[in-house]
Amino acid sequence: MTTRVARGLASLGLITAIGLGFACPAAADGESVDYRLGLLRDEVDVLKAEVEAEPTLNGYYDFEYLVDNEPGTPSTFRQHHLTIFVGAHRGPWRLLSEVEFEDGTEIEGDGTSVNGKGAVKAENAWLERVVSDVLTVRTGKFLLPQYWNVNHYPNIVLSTNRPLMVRDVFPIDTTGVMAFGNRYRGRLGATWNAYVGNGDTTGATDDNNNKAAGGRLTLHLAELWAPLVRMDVGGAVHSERAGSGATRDAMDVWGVDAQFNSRIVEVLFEYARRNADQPHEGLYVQPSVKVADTVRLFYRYDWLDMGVLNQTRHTGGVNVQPRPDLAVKVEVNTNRFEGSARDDYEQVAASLALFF
Amino acid sequence: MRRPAAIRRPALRWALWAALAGALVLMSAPLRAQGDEYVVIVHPDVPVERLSTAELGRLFQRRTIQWPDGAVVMPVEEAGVVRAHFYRDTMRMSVAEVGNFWVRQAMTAGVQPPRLLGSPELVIAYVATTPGAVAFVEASAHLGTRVKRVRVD
Repeated sequence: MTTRVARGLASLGLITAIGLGFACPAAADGESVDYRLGLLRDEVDVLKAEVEAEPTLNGYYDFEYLVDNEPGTPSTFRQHHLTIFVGAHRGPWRLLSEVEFEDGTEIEGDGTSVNGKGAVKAENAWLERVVSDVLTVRTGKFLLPQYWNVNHYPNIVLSTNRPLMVRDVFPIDTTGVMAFGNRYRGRLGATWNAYVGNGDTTGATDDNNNKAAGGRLTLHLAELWAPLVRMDVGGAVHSERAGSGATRDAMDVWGVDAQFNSRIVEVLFEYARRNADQPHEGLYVQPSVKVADTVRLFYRYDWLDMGVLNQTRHTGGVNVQPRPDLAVKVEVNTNRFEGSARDDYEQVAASLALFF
Repeated sequence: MRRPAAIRRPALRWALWAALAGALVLMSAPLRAQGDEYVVIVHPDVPVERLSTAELGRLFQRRTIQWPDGAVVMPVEEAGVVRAHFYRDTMRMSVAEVGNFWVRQAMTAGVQPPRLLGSPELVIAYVATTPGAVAFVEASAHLGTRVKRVRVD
């Protein structure tokens, strides 16, 4: 809001300066035009300083209704997230923080103890230095660069439920340093990421010297064929020592993914495998079709093998976006289990998500 | 009802599915080539004379952040219907789809869209006085001599 006000004021200043320039007869004189342009340059400098000094404030809200026929689980309303993003930009330095209030957070204290429900979490808190197109260095807490993991926000993704494999094969985030960048040669582009951070730990600082490390390479192929808006193919690896105490198991994860979008048809795919004491493996394929300007129908096949539990899910749904910042979703899914006493079940999920 | 023998053959069935997918892709292609609704201008010190539509798309999506001489790219946009033409030609997206793109960028990368200015005169004044600036303005705008027009391939 404040940024808009600053832009408005600055634009007003520019309009005034230009208006003066056109209104003044002396402006026809070359020297006077230079003088006016000097004034205009000052106005633009003020505009840039004002806008750069303003932090950005964004966020999102989502609300869900879930009902299924699994024994013992009643239908439920869920005020899932209320999340605030604060960003700042200082020359080549860029900061983003994301604080998430999950499940209607309530925290109360009486001076000696604290009780509450829900969760408050800093999901992102990083500062980055943009060096060039091919190199940006980010420090702090950040999401690992898998496709759905980075783009998981409810107003962005088509479904209410995330794919089964997301967060259960690759870890979600780390605190450390990540370098990344992109490069285009002709119509072929690539983005790379490499990071090192704290491994699995419960405290504010790492409790062992076995750091997590990983990387990702994404090829951007959409410009090779005009009808495509997006055709990305990527691969990623991650390695760390997981667990607690003296015994820590090696955990090596690798995965591949692809995203294809031609405006009408979109297909998302990810596969990943975790080699560890308890291997995990999973994939999803999500084709969708735009049937109207604001309406997209989607289907998703999910499979997750957690070693002792194997789950498959079929989801079909509709996502309506009457505005770019608002999504309304309804979906039906069927869940089948192997290697577990858990009963198969079906679920209906509906949600609203708003970006602000 | 028994399906035709050709449909029962797996290879032919896959071919039909592929043809259907291809048709959907082609239906989503832009209906026309780049138009004459806008011109692209840069600050006179920017060392480029021509840009492809793909390069313009990357500049205005802030994927490319530096000019060849290392100067920071400063894109600004003219408000109004000219945006729809520019987005269609350079990003193959509608205004709403570009809005979606910037929502995603704000959330995942902390990157904000280019500044939107209300008239061609403002855009030209901004570009003339801001090193690294690049913009599009409606083709009928009077450019003057203090900005450089680049050719779009």
